[in-house]
Amino acid sequence: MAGLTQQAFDDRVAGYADSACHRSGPSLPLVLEFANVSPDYFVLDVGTGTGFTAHALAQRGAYVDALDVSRPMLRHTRATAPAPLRALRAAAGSIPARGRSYDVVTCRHALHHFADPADAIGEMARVLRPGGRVVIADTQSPDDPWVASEMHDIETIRDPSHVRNLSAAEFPRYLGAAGLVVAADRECRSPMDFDQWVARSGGTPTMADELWRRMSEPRVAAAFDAHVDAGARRFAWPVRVIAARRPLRP
Amino acid sequence: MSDSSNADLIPADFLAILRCVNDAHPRDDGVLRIVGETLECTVCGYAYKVEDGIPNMLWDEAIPPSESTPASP
Repeated sequence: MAGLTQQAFDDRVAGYADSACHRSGPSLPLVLEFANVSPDYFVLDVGTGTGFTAHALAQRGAYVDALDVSRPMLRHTRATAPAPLRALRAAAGSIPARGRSYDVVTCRHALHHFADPADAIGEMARVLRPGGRVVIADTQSPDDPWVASEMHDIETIRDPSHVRNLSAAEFPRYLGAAGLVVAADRECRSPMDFDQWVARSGGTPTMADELWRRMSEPRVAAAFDAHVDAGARRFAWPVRVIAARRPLRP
Repeated sequence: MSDSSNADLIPADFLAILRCVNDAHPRDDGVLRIVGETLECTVCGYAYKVEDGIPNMLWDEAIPPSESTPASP
């Protein structure tokens, strides 16, 4: 799956660099609030993509290492960084850092691409210093199993690198299994332009029409606030932002 | 620990936190050293290229010991 994800993202730098939800979506200020970095903090941003989260953390004076499987994404992240940061090409499920290396680990809008989210969260916890925080923001699967299944299909048709979204219960469960204690937890909604969302992962207008037909089913439309606004097809992803602390003593 | 001819491949403080991702040995045992244009595990001998200053730590792209640059004496 790492190979598929890497290949998928190597060609998508421009699309992600222009993505409003990644650049400035409502999860970014929450991640920054929960991370609460000081200028001397060492931070790892996992699945950094085009680096919006890493950049914001570096702007606050943190020492940031940006991790991703895609070299083009990392080169873009480093080239556009407002402050120096280090880039690291690696898989989230096998973080190439020694234990207890970071004060904060962030992962924003990337977890749903990881082959094994539990493994990735375990790795984030491993590299965290005692007292440090993991902050995760990601789209969250709806509670209704049928709606969740429909949205999973829509996501995987649109983007073959999509693996799965965690449910509301899975976020704290996986963090707890990694030995972390939930310290802050918030939900928000990330408004999306549907056609731009499909195009960002290489989908055609025909694919967009077919996916919109499924998105317009009343239960799915209600869960994702799918609607047409001034001719633009729009929806909103529920996003979970959750922070968990590594205890000072195990 | 490092090949002195290429000690500036990546900063020393960056090298100090990196580890080999070979699951055949414990995660924190895989200390790396600079050998030519690579980071080589002092335990298993697998090496990782550094491309444009970016360590490539993907296990699928690691260089087996028999194919990596011989270490300096």
